[in-house]
Amino acid sequence: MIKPVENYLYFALTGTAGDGVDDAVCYPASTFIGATWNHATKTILKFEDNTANTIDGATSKKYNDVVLTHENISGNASIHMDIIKAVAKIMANPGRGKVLTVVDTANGVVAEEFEALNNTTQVSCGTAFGITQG
Amino acid sequence: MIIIYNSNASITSTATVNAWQASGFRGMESSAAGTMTMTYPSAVNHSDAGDVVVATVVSSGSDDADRANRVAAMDAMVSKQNTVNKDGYVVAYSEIENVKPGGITGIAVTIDS
Repeated sequence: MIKPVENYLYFALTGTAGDGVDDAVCYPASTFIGATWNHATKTILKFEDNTANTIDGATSKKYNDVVLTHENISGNASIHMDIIKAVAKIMANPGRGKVLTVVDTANGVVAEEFEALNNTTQVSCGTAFGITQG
Repeated sequence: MIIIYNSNASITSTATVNAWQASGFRGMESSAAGTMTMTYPSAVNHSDAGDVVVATVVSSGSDDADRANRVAAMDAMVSKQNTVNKDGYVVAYSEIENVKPGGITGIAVTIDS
């Protein structure tokens, strides 16, 4: 099977990202399933489960989750939509085969698409990445 | 392309703001007088329980008018699904942004239906 060249999205927690299990994750943009509200200050991004061999027909009932922490909705009623739009813009990067840093909390780096959303609260990854049973 | 739905002016639950890959759109079905249901692959990856967006369209009481209104709503949603732009997203429906195409007056989202 020829795998198409595509962009990957990189996320990292605080601390020494990469030293521990799931300190940092990197998923193909095409495996993005969806996004929704998670908390007044959090938006959850869901990616396809990469632990089940779905190519061979295995049934997965899990997803990989990435939770972004951001400004409270009390300060911006559309913050969750704004975060989702920024992620969509990052995924629409016209490059191919790139690793796009979305949020690297360990190094205080966020994609420039988030810059306008960082005025009161830095967009960050404060919740452990993981595989969630759907 | 990412397609975004916002069902309520106050985003306080998983049913109030949702986004999916437009490529995952699985079509639309009439579901009652003045409603139609759109389906996406499950956000929690259940193979047998998709996510649904029920759109309310103008219902007149006349079958012919209902059909025409529903077709107008379906047409608007097809246009949204097929949108391509460099932003990478399209807002299909939003209470916050007052985006209400095709005569759709409201939506209700159920994930993992």
